[in-house]
Formats: sequence, C-alpha cells, structure tokens
Amino acid sequence: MRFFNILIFLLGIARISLAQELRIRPVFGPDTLDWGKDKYTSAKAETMSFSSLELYLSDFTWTDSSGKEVKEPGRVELLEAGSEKQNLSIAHPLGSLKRVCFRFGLDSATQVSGRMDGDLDPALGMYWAWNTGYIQCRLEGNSVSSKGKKGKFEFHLGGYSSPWATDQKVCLDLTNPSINGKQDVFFDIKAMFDQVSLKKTHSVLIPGEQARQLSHFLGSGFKSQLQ
Amino acid sequence: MVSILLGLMLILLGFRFSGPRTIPRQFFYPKSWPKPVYDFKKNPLNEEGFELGRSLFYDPILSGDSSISCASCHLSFTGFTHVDHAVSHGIEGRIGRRNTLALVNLAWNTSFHWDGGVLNLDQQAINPISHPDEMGSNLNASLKKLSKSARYRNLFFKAFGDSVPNTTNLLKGLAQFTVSLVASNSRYDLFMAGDTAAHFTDQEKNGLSIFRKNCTSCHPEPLFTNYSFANTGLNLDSLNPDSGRFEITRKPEDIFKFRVPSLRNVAVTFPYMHDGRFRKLREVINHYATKNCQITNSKDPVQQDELIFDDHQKKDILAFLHTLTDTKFIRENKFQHPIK
Ligand code: HEC
Ligand code: HEC
Repeated sequence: MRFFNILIFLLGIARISLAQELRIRPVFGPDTLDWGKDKYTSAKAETMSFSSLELYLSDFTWTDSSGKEVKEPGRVELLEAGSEKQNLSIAHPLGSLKRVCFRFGLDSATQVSGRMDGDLDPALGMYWAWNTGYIQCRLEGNSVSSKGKKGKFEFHLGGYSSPWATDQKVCLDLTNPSINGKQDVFFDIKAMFDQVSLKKTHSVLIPGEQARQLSHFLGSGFKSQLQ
Repeated sequence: MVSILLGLMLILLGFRFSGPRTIPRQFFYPKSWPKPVYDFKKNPLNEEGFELGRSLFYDPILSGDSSISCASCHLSFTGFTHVDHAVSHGIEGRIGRRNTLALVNLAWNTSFHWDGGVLNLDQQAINPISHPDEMGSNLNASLKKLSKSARYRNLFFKAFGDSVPNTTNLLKGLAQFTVSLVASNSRYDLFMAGDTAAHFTDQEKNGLSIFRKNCTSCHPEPLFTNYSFANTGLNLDSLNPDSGRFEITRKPEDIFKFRVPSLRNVAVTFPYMHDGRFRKLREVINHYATKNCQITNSKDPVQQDELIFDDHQKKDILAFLHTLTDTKFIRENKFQHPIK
C-alpha cells in the first residue's frame, strides 16, 4: 500500500514537471498589455486603456516538432486577463510545439450543448441568458474618444448562427522556443482598434453584423511573433 | 483468484452504493400527444430532483434580497403565471418588460420566452435569477446562499449525490420541477377522449369548430401552439417598444413577431399577449376580429376576412376557450408549495 502511494506521488510530480503550456499573451502592437494603466494609441489616432479581456478558445489540434499530432475536439478553455486575474495558459499533451490550431470562440454545437460544467459554467459570467449562448470574447476599457459613460467602451462579441457566426479557426506555426515548458504566442488587439473608431462604435453587446465584423478583426490578431 | 474477483465485486458494489439511491420519476402524458422535445436523457427525472426543484421554485432564497421566488410570478392557481399586473414585477418593485408566460407543457417547447431567445429549459432559469428586473441576483450569489443551508445541502445530495450546490444541479433541479408541469386533463381533453361525463354544450361545440377553422394554423391541438412566431397585428406600444423575435434573429421579416403561446388554461392566465395589454379574453377575440388587424406569419398567412366574427361566434369561441382549463393541474398538490 505504502509503495503504491509513493509511486502515485512520484507519478504526480512527474506529471507536474512535464506539463507543457501554450501561453497566449495579449499585446497592443509591440507592447505587452498593462491592465488599467498604460495608454495605447491605434492607427485611428485614438488613445485607450484596457480593463479586462475574456475569450473562449476551443477544439485544439497540437503538433510537435516531430510531426506528432494530438486532437482535442470539444475541449474548451476560458482565458481571462485584467488587473485582478491572469489566466492565459493552456496545458497541452506534447513537448515543444511546431503548430497549433484552435477555434477562437465556441462552435454552435458547443454553444447549445447544454453543458454547464467547467469553463462553460454560466456562473462565470460569459453566458448570455436571454439569447442562448456564450459571449465568445469580451473586451472592456476606457478612451476619451468613446461616447460611453465616463469614456467606457465594451465589446461583448458573440453569436453563432449564420450569417453572423463569430467563431473562427486559427492556425499558428510556432517560432518561439519552449522555455521551462512554456511557449508563447500573441493576441494583438490593435488589429481591431486599427479598423474600428471608438468615436463611432463604443459598445457592441448583441450578436449581429457588427459583432461578426469585430470578431474577425480580433481573430486576425493571433500571431506567433511580436511585430 | 477468487479473492481478486471478490475484491472486484466489492469495489463495484461500493461504487453502486456510494452515490445516493434515487427513485425514478415517470413522465406521464397522453398517448395521443407527440413525443416531448425535452431531452430526459440529459436530466433523468427522479423524485428527489423534483422535490429539490419544487423547493427552489417556491423559495425566495434565489433572489438578491431574498424577497421573491419563481412562484411570485408563476402562481399555480393562475396556471403558473402572474395575474395582477400587465408586465411582471421583480425585486424592489422594478417593472419588467414582458408579460409573464404561463408554465405549461414545457417538455414540448422548441424554444422559450416570447422571442424564442432561450433554446433549452435547463438554461432558462439563469434569466430570472440573473436579470436585474426579475430576481436581481446572480448564479454565484445564489449558489453561495444555498450552500450555507443545511437543508439544501441535503436536498442537493439526495438528488445528485453532491451536497455542494453547483450551476448544473441547481438548473437541472429547477427544470425537473418545471418540466413536470403537464396539463392534459381539461374538460376539452376528457371530451376528446370520449368521456361521457365531459359534456360539451352546443355553444362550446360550435366554438371548437370555429376555432378549428380559424385558429389552429398557429394554435393546433393538442398543445394549442405550434411554437412558431407570428405577428398578430397589435399596435406598437411606443412607451414599451418591443420588436420580439427580431431581437434574436435580427431578420427584418421577424420584426414584431412573438412566439405563439399555448392556450391551455388560457381562461385563468390573464392578462394576455406579450405585453399583457388585454385583461379580458374577450378583448383578445375582439382584436382578432377587427378589420385592420394584419396577421402575418411567413409560413401560414391568415386570411383576415375569415376572422370577422359576429357576436354569437365570439361568445362561442370564448366558451370553447374556457374548456381548456385543467383544474386538476392547477390544484395538484405535488405542484404546490412544499410543506416544510
Ligand atoms: C419577476 C417575475 C418573474 C420571476 C420571479 C420568474 N419569472 Fe419566469 N418568466 C417571467 C417572464 C416575464 C417570462 C417571459 C420572459 C420573456 O419572454 O422575455 C418568464 C418565462 C419563464 C419561462 C419560459 C416559459 C416559456 O414557455 O417560454 C420559464 C420556464 C420560467 N419563466 C421559469 C421561471 C423559474 C424557474 C423561475 C425562478 C428561478 C422564474 N421563472 C422566475 C417572469 C418571472
Ligand atoms: C398567425 C398565427 C395565429 C393565429 C392564426 C391565431 N393566433 Fe392567437 N396568438 C398568436 C400569437 C403570435 C400570439 C401572441 C401575440 C403577442 O403576444 O404579441 C397569440 C395570442 C393569443 C392569445 C393570448 C394568449 C396569452 O396567453 O397571452 C389568445 C387567447 C389567442 N391567441 C387566441 C387565438 C384565437 C381564438 C385564434 C383564432 C380566432 C387565434 N388566436 C389565431 C398567433 C396566432
């Protein structure tokens, strides 16, 4: 019995030290995002600061440098960043990655599956109660350009039925090495603010053409290298 | 070898008895009805889950200031709806936007709410709990309050084998109760089943035939709704504008369409329509019978002139609609406040 306990304990340690993670680092152009503090300037010459970001990634396919591929369809990860929380790492089953593919958001089957466990728990605040489904990506902050209350802007982007589906397939060829089991990719939200003027749009809270368009601007912000 | 087998059996038995033993609950409905849409495999009914849901339904613990329960708006005696105000009232007297829907035969719903925005009964209850105009709480706050109650920890354990309330089990418990609200014993049902005690007067029979001619394209028997969306030509209320189905689909053809409500128990579920603008059933029938009422439904356009009824016909329809009240359902002990 004793022996088994020790064995399980050792296996546990081995698992922890072997855990490999992909880190999604939110950036604004070349700059790391500093929540609630720094001011960033978009190509539209609007300055802004950010308070929080939440996004769903799902349906992962991992490929390591030897070409080995592991698929995790149906896997759902809610990533969160802000001044109070930082949860941007995704554990994966391979060593050093060469390529990763995932869905930015959740597909319609997951949206309506009725699963309410883990990262899909509606208590996490990403569930749109009045309109069955989850917000795919939520980004909030402030800007003097925004006409919202006290310069607030809020983008709760979601919707999964055509023609306004917001989920997108993203594939990245990784170029950063794995350091201590961690490998970085970047999520550049400037991609959206270069296209959208906060003067004109400071709040999108429902599915529709705007949500679809903004989601696609954001989706183009995933990249494996900082600019 | 034998000891290994014995050990394995013991382990298996251990697993079997480690969870709670629940008493399965039968879901009854008339043989002639269509199959329910609700997926009972995802939430198998048992007596313990039903009792948990019933307890939650009647308990103000779910609301932010512990002042109102589901039953505050969904009263059993009025067919599980709210009758004294046009639009529902929530905590701190805030006025909601829409008329409370009667809870009936929810296992057949293909969508929920007047705009069909909610697709699954299990998730519907997130709305009242987290809507500031309704119960003014949020799931986390409600779960926290429940986990502090020894009675609820016990009820959750008995139903789901986990004494810590979580979102899934809270919502499944509520759904076990609400999905059980089946009304199928009105005088109309008995009459249709050939029960000699369920006599229909000539007026009621005439009402039924007018109804079958004019209303069943949207309110078909036996559920008295086809769960589609239609515009019955109500004037827009400028103080409370509501574009209905359009808010969900954003399709121009869906502006001002609302889900066709079931007409079961309709005599007791006043006021009527999505904004509760009509207090009397008579007013609804008058609305259908006005010349300028444009009924539009992309699938089933209705000929307006067919709906021009004379006073006798109106009375006949009214008499027929009264036969849809299921008093057994309304008084059913099992659906009332559990006696603590
Ligand atoms: C303040 C009043 C109020 C309270 C409290 C309330 N509801 Fe409701 N309920 C409504 C209204 C209003 C609607 C219609 C909403 C809409 O169409 O937008 C509704 C709709 C529903 C529906 C959908 C019915 C259908 O046919 O689509 C269900 C199910 C339901 N409520 C269950 C509950 C449960 C369970 C609770 C307690 C957790 C609850 N309600 C608490 C007012 C209330
Ligand atoms: C084209 C589809 C359609 C037809 C035909 C139709 N209805 Fe309706 N009915 C609806 C819709 C949709 C509503 C809800 C409208 C709203 O709230 O804006 C409704 C609401 C009602 C209500 C109010 C129920 C409640 O709980 O609020 C009654 C009563 C009713 N109809 C009776 C009838 C009768 C009687 C007829 C035939 C004379 C009829 N309907 C024909 C679609 C239809």
